[in-house]
Amino acid sequence: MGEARVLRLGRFSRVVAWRAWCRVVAALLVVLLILLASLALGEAALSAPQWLAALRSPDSGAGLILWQLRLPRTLLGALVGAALALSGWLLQQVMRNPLASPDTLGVTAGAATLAVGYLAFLAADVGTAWMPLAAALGALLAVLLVMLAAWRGGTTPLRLVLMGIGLSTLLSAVTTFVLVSSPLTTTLSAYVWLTGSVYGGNWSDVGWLAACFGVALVVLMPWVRLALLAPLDDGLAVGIGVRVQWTRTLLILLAAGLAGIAVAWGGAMAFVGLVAPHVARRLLRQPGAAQIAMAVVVGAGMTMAADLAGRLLFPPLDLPAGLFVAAIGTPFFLGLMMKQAR
Amino acid sequence: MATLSANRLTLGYQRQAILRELSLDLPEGRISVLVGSNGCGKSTLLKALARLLTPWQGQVALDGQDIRQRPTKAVARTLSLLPQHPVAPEGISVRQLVGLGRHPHQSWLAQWSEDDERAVEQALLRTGLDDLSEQRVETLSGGQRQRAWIAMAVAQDTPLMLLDEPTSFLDLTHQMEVLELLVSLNRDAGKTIVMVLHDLNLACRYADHIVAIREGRVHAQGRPQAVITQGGSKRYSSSSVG
Repeated sequence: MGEARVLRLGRFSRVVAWRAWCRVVAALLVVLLILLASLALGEAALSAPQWLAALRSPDSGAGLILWQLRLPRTLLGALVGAALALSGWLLQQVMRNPLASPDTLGVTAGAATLAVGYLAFLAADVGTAWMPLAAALGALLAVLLVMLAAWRGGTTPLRLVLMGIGLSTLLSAVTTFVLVSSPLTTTLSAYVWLTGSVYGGNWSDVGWLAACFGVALVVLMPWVRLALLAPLDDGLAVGIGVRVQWTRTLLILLAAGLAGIAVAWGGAMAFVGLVAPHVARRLLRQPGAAQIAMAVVVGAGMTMAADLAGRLLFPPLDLPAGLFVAAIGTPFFLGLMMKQAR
Repeated sequence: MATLSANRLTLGYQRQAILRELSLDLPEGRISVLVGSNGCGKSTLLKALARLLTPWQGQVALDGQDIRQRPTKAVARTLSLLPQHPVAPEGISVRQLVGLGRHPHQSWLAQWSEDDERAVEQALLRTGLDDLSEQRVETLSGGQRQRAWIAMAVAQDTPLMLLDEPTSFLDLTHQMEVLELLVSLNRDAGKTIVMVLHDLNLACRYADHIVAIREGRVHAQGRPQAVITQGGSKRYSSSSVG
């Protein structure tokens, strides 16, 4: 392993896969390019000098577009993608299943049901400001329900997946029922949300999501080691002293929380949570902290690129990013899988 | 120093009791082999001894203390377990697999100490895998792979090692190779070894202490000669009770 160095200082010791981290930094640079493109391009394209001028004077017309419209929206997209990717990576690890994603555990379906319910029954009276809360609550409730239903002196990944898929189907039916039986305007805004969009994202959204994401990262920090051990079967894990049930429960709740907040602000584009970890794994085969970082970076890049594509491809339409996450992500994903299965 | 015993252990799956009030003391510093026909409960007993299963009644005691009362990580510094069909994470190298055994000695602060490195190095040498250490586990042959798993348990550096059928799916040469390795760990490093074997010939050859399980109870135990020739144990005289 010439690609890793060991750092030791007193009792402190770490294996640093420096080459892997170099790749993460490279990916980060690519994502920064997407960010710059996303700031410059749109209905009003900005040339480089215009762009610099706008950057310096936030009160000018171009400055407003840059600072109040494009930047918060782009950052919101990045955060949504990052949170979904992290959630998906954790779930695939804990479920020992490459097809696991925030969808699998009913997270997205739960969020969608409460969010659509909110739009249909509460939005008219209290406004849409609380919708993220409703969505996050729905995500958490759904996961708790799945865990409770799958619990029999402990859970197994298989039972969780089965319960999750079952509950998702049920909740989708409820969502559809609410959609069908509510007025057309509600249906329309609900539909955009269900596709996943960061249109109209503002600084307060960015602030909230960034804070939530930051908290989740801090909570995750001491658990990374255990997340990396999650693919071991239970007997082996207990044998080397892992508290399997406790770890599994905590990591699932964390993943659900991450997906919940992402979906709350970005809508139901959970597909990122399925694809981004796979892309990260292709770029960095070695499981480790660097792979997690890579998934986060890829997720952020994917949603930003999808949002940009939605803005550029069919002017003057500004299409929801979720559409292009699927449109760009799916062929890419299938290509990866075909290459792998060869 | 580590003693392991079962006190009036009753447990099973769903409602079906597999072990019934089973009591057993495992001699320290010896190789104990659990034998018995399929479904007699020998694997269940090993799992219970390794705290993978929760007893309905009774307890497993490690150094005289209920094993479930102790932090699982502390237990893992005393007792290692090799399950019957372990599955390695995809793409992992032999060295990394062996390194996993160091988990109970690590903390968030100390993730790869010099002790960890030394223990892995020694485990690789001891199991003759030092030349294969950078290979991926899935590229190894069955015998090599089993040695890699044993190396992981060796790196865990515990006085007690539990193994569930460590020789299954191996041909006779490799079965003996694995068992010789365990014997050397017992003789040179003083490890207490407890394992399930289904081949009675091998059990007799390598065990210091044989425990015959029948219908969830200890049917007979003692030195191989004593147990196998004992009256009423004719059913154990065939070469394989599998």
